[in-house]
Order: sequence, then structure tokens, then C-alpha cells
Amino acid sequence: MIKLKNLERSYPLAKEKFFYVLRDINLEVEEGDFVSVMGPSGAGKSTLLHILGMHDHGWRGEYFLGDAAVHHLKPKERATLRNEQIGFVFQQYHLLDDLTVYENLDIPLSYRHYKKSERAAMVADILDRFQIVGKKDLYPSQLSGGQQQLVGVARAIIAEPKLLLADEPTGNLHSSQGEEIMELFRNLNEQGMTIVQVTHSEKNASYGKRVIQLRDGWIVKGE
Amino acid sequence: MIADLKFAVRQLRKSPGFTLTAVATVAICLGANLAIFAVINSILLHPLPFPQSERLVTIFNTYPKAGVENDGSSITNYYERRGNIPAFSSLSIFRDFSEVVGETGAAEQTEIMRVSPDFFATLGVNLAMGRTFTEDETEIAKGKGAGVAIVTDAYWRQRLNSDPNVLGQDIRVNTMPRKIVGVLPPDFRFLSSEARLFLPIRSRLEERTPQQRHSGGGGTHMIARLKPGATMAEAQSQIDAHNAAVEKDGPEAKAMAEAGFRSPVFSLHADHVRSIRPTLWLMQGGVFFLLLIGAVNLVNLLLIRASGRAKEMAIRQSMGASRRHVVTQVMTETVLLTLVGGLLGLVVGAWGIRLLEVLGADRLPLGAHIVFDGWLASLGLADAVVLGIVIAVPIAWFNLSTHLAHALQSESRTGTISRAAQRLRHGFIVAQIALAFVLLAGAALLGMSLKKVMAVTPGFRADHVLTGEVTVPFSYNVRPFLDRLLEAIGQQPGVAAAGAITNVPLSGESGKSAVTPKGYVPPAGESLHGHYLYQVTGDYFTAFGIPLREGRFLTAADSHRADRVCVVDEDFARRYWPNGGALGQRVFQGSESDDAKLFTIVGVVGVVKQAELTEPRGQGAVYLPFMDSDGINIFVVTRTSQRPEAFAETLRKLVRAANPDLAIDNLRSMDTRIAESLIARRSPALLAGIFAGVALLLAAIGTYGVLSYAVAQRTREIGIRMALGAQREQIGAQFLSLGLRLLAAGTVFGLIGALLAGRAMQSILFDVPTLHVATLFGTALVMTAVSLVACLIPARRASQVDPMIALRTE
Repeated sequence: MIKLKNLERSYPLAKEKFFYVLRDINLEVEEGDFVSVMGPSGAGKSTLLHILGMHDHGWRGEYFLGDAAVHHLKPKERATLRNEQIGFVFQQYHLLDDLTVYENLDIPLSYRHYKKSERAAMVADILDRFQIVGKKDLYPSQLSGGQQQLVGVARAIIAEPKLLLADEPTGNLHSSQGEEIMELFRNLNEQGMTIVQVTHSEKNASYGKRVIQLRDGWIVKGE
Repeated sequence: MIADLKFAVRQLRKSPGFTLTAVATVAICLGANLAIFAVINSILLHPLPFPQSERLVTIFNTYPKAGVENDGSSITNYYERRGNIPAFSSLSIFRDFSEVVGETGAAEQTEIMRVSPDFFATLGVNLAMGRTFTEDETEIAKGKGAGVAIVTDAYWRQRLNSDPNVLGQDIRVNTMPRKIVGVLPPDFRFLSSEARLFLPIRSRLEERTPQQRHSGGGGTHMIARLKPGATMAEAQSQIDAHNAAVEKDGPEAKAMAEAGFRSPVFSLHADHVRSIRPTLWLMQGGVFFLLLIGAVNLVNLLLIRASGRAKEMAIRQSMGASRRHVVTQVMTETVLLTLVGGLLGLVVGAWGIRLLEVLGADRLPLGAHIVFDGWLASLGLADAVVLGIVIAVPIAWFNLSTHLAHALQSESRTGTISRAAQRLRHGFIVAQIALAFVLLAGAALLGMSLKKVMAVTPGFRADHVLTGEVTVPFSYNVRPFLDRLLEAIGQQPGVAAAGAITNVPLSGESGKSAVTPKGYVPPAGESLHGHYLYQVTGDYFTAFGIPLREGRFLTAADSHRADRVCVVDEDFARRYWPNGGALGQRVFQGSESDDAKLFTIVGVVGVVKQAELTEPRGQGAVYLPFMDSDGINIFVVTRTSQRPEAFAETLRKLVRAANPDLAIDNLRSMDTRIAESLIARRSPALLAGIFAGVALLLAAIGTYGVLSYAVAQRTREIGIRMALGAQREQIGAQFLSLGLRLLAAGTVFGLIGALLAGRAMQSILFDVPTLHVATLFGTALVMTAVSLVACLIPARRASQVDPMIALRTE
């Protein structure tokens, strides 16, 4: 599903020198895979995730997502591809404070031009599936961290992406809440969703099928 | 308090960009208000510089049904009313003249005022030296009045070297020596007059008879002082009763009643500034709107700043700061800001007054009294303090309403209070757009009105025409002088035509006289009508480019012929002979009906705008040949192929050559006279344009500031939305739509305000309706364009947010 060839990400320093965040990344992720990206802080994990999520465009190399050669796509085409294929889960949940749970779930659909009736059905379905119907009118500040991340995951998959990218999804949760989220990820993966997560936790990584180790921008294990 | 002040100074120094913007906003808005208020204060509010000036009134004769609104007062009125109106302690008359002062060969035209003996007593002014005029000096028959004069302090100092023995010395006025009998106190100035010499107003006994009661001609004005305790209403009823009594058996009683004759009593001050009052208050209203816009802008900037400092305020409160502490700190900062702005505003105000002078404010009634004094400066600073206190209110409210826990957790966190603050900011932007819309629409209406006035055809060709004023004294025969002068002018290279008239159009003087066709009986319910009446000679009509419609022009020869002829304009001809046939008809002047004194119409000429360009049609003008008359003001008119002003010096020399005792003054091209007649319209339009421009800029800054803040505040949200699939255009459109919603709301309120403003401005607009759709549409278009620019920058910035960075913001 994902193929990266000789991918590099660097930032210019003084006098034509560069600081490399990712170097010569070659990686393949099959459809239905569940990959955990690990490594110390500053290894380039989050950068890799944002490149996969097409939030970052300043890289060199080749990136194929399915049949699409992302490196040849214009920014607008990449945005369209991202909307069709990718969902995102953040460590800080990133729910919009001024919107209710229901409205937060509706946002990704509103950007994908679904009809209002379809959106309502899809939001109702996901609320039901995640068993948070009773919370739909609450604001994020009225939810616990685990509940907020649950909504975050629900929001990430509501538009039925093929690829779910998660950046430290349990980083702000206590262990039982974290386990709950990881169980949810495992279920989603079992249902066919491809997942790439960034994590520091060996335990969380164990929920996945394989681990990639990054160090100083290089893949040192799992290529 | 000192600690608060120090902290406020530190805070303001920390954000020089904000401080500079805020101070400049206060300085410009307050300065503009001060400049306009200085004019209002000096012209409308400040009492006239005479003791108990509120008791000074003016009385004039009006004949509204005859088309004569203000005909001044007659000599007869003066003598009949003097001492007979119990409400007045004193009553007097005056007349402005331009007369020749100085020795032969060095004489110059000087503004002079002729006054009755009780004039200075009526004003409550005591002479610094000498005495005022005596009753004997006002009677021509006694031959004494010709020889005395009173001079102003300035004249005494500048021309008479402050000579303490000046009384009894002679000065030459109109070629006759006048003995100085008095010197006025320093700073004496009567209304807007620039007269520095005062002569007694003289008359023959026959000019004081009831037959001359309605022969004011607009040149003689009456003033009076109310007795202590007497009211204007009492004076009015006594004047009405007096008029009724003296008119009772008069031969003109019926005609005067039909003409709607009355003698209204008005406050001298109010009457003098009546024409300019609505314009000045409108300007003050406009500039006050500017201050409101500036204040709203400031509040919004401060609210944004307060949002960024919510955590600081929360910490202070959690450390024990009371509501009073919070309010004091906020107020210290805002008052400091507005006070600094106010100090700079004083400078802006002083500059503003100089700008207003350049725009012609000093030529307004009492315009020479405009000053920027200590009182005005104190008022400006007091206003600045009040402004600081007022704008502190919403900021203090915001700080006191912030949820402490939220504010302490995170500055960027949003919650219920921030939503309320956001609504408040948005409300202020709507108000700002609405106010700017009203100002812009008002300026556009004034501009439109000015454009319409400027498009009015004056009825003559103003280009290449030079005009100048000569006073011919009583003792001189006008005709030989004019014959010599016009012949000499005609021989100059480049002169196409030259003529003379007793008054040129738009000169500022525009009295009417009774001129009636022989045998004319007005229809039932109508009155005899007043018309412009002038004497002309030479090629006046050719020089002025006034078209001939029928018959012929008057020529210099007509002034020397025994048969009396005249030319009338189309309005006069149409009024009395609507089906044509004016030529050969005969008209008489005043009450004269002796056949030998009738004038036969030999020509009909085009209509000329006499008093002002906005004058309605139908006034009617009659032109007579120059007759033997003594003591007359003449305008010499020359059409040249060169620039008119370039001929001025030659004209001066020609006048001196024609008669070394005379001088020509008030030299202006007709283009200049037209431009000067438009000052009361052009300057307000220009000022309103400047105010509207500043208002537009402030509204744009306000909109930009609020949207930029919204973008900065919601960077994290933008990142999340983009991460969740929002396209850049969708993010941009989200903020653009916010700006456009504010614009739409502001425009709706602005439209309502503009309609009300248009209605309030109706009295000073010319040929522009209250609801001028094109103006409102144009205003909306300009507001939209400017607001769009102000919205596009933050909207574009929002769409450029890097989601990676945005998501790390928190």
C-alpha cells in the first residue's frame, strides 16, 4: 500500500549545509499491515508520519500510496488523495473545543462533500459503533482524556480511510485507557485497515504486526 | 497607582507597534475633533466680544412674497424706531463700504464702516480715546458730517505711529480731509468686518421720510441692544406693533402687506453665522463619527491584547488582586495611552486649524476669530482622559470575566468568555464598518452636491475675465471717469472688451430693488417682485460673455442719451411677458411712475447667477445705463486674451491715470470669484473626504486586526481542520466568510445611518436627494473592496498555515 524509495527530509542550515531529519528511507507497508514506528526523540518518527499523511511536502525521493505516485502529485491532488485514503489520530486528541462531540465527528465529512443526510447517518453510525451516543452533545472539556481520544479515533475513521496514521495515540492516557485504544486499533486492523503508529511504548508496539526502528533519521531495523 | 503607571509604561514600551498605532489613532481622531471644534467654538459658541453680547439683536426688513428675504433696514426705519421700541436700550445702523483713503497718487481702496452715533454704545464699547459721532455729523445738509472719522487701534498704531496726539489730525478719505475724533480700543472688531476706519452714516432729511421707509436696498443694517430683562419676543411684538402703526396710513401699506413685509428680530450672533451653522455642526458630527471609529478600533486592539494577557491577569487575580486593582490597572494603561495620544492630538489639532485656514475657514463669518487656545487644549486633554476611561470599560469587563482556571491552564484555550469577547470584538467591527459607511456616504453626497453646483452654468463666460472694484466719491461725476478709463483699457493689447457695472455676479453683495413694468398689476394673492438692478456701461455684456437674446446691448452712448433705455434678462422678460414682446415695453424703478422717468426695454439678455450658483431661476435682472449718481461702487470688467491676473497691475495704473484720487481693489478673475463662492461647499466636501478616507483606513485596520487575531488564535484549529481534510481554500474561505458576514452586517446598519445622515444633510445639499441610490451603491462597493483587502490578507495567512507546525502549537 505504501512504498517509500530513497526518501529524505532535511532543513537548510547556514552556508548550503543541511540538517537531515530523515535519510534514505526505503519502506514498504502492505495493505492490512499494522506498523509501529519507534525510536528515541528526534529520530524522525513524527516527521515520517506527517510525510505519510501528506502534511509535509518538503521531502525528496519517491512515495507511492496505492497506485498514486505522491511525489508527482500537486499539493491539491495530494490533499484530495489524503482525504480519500488517510485518517489521523493525534497524541493531544486535537478535538475542537468549541464544537460538540457530534460536530467534531461531522467535520471530516463536511470537508469531503457528503450530503447532510449521509453525514448524519455516518455520524450516528460511528457514535453507535464507539458507544458514545450519550456523549454526542458534550463538549471536549466535559470528557475524560480516554473519551476524548476515543472521539479522536472515531473522527479519524469516520470517512472510512484505508490508512490510519496515529502519532503517540496513548501518550496522554493512563494505562487502562491506553489499552482500550490499542484494542480498538487491533480491531480496526483486523477489519482490514492499514495502521501506522508512532509510539515509544513496547507494549503498544506489540499490538502491531511489525516494528520499524528509526535513529537519527535512518531506519536501523525493520526496513 | 505609581506602580500601575510604571507597569503600564513598561507594557506599552514592550509593544511599540501596538502603542504607535493606538497613539496615532487617538491623535488623529482627537486632533481632527479639536480642529473642527475650534471652528465651532470660535464661530458658533463663543459669545461676540462685547459686554452682554447675548442682548445684541439685529432687525431687517423682509418681503418674502416679493422674493426679497433680507433687505436690511432703511434710514427711515432707524429714525422712526430709535427711542420708540421700549425693549431696546439702544438702536443703531451701519453700512459697509469700500472707499478711497490716502493722498492723491497714493490712494488705496480701504474697507470702511459708516455707523450711526449710537453704534458703539449699542455694542457696549467705549472708545480708547476721543469721542463718538454726534447727531449733527449725520446730517448732510448741515455739512459737518463729512469731516470726522474714528480709527481702530490697529490703524492708529500702524498708520499713525501710535501718536498720542492723534485727535484732531486729518486723514484723507474719498479725497476729503476727515478729522480724527476717536480711537477704538485694541482688538475691537465688529463681526467679520475688516474696517479700520469708521465714518458717520449721513443722510439728507428727505431720506428720513416715510416715503423712503422701504428703500433699504440691503446695504444698511440695524442692530439693537435689549434692555436688561427684555426678551426678543417682546422686542419682536413691539417692532411688529410699531411697523403696523407707521404703515397704517402709508401709501405703500397695501403693497407691503402683499409682499409679506415683516421686520424679524434675531440674535445678532445667530443671524451672522446662520448660513454656516448647519455645515459646521455637520462637520462636527462627521468628525465625531471618526472619533467613535477610532475609539472602537482602539477597544478592539486592546481586547485582542487583553486576550493575550489573560493569563497575566488571571495570575494577578489568583495572587489576590481585587476587581478594583484590575480596573485601576486597565484604566491606567488606557488613560496613559489616550493621554499621550491626546497630547499629540493637540499638535494635530493645531495643524488641522492651519489646514482649515488654507481651505478658507478664515473667510467664514467670524472666521478670523478662530483660535487654538489654552482652554481648547485643556478640553482636548480632558477629552483624552474621558476617552481612556470609556474604552477601559470593555477591557476591564473582559479581564474580570475571564475564567481563572482556564486562563491559568492555557492562554490559547477557548471557552465561553472568549466566545463572548469574540462576539464583542465582532460587534465593534460591525459598528466600525457602519460608522465608516455613514461617513463615506456623507462625503460622497457632499461631493455629488459640489459636482452638481460646479456643473451649474453661471450664464456668463468666466474665463479670461478680470474684475476689480473702484469707489467713486460723492463729489465725483462717474461717467466721464468711466469713459476715460474704459477707453484706455480698450486700447491695451490683448483686451477684447471692457465694461463696468455696479455689482458683478458672486461678489457677495446681492440686494434687490423694486422694478416694475408700467401698468403691471400683480394677480390676486401675488405681490410686486424685487429684482436685481444694476447700472452698466461700456461693453459689459461682451466682456462678461452674456448672450443677447433679443434687441441690443446697452452701450456707453446710452449713458449720455436723453431717452432712458434698459436691458432686462430672460427671467424678467418671461415673468411679465411670457408670450414674448418685452422689447419696447417700459419699466419704472421704485415708486416712480412719472412717464419721463420710465425706462424702455431695448434688449433681452441671458440669465446670470447673481447671488450664488445655486440660486433658483426666476429672480429677474434689469440693467440700466450709468446715470449721474454720486458716491458709487463700480466693478470694472475686462476680458483679455492673457491670464486675467496678469492684467491686474496694468489696470491699477490705468485707474490712477484716469483719476489719481481713485484706486482699484478687490481684483479677482471671475474664475476666482466662482471658486471663492464655492468655499462653503468645497471645503466641507474636501474635509468630509479626508475624514471618510481616515475612517475607511481605520475600519480596514480594525477588520484586518480582528481577523488576523482570529487566525492567530485559531492556528491549532486550522491545523486540525487541515489534518482532517480541509483544503486550503476552504480554510481561507472560512475566514473570508467571517469578514464578509461582518461587512454585510456593518453595511446594513451603515445604510440605515447613511439614510438618516442624508436626511440631516438635506439643507446643505444641492440637487441631491436624501436617498441617492448610486451614492449608496458606490459607498457599498468601496467598503466591500477595502474590507475584502483587509479580509484577504488574514484569510490567505490562514490558508497558508502549516498543519505540522500548527499541531505542535499547543
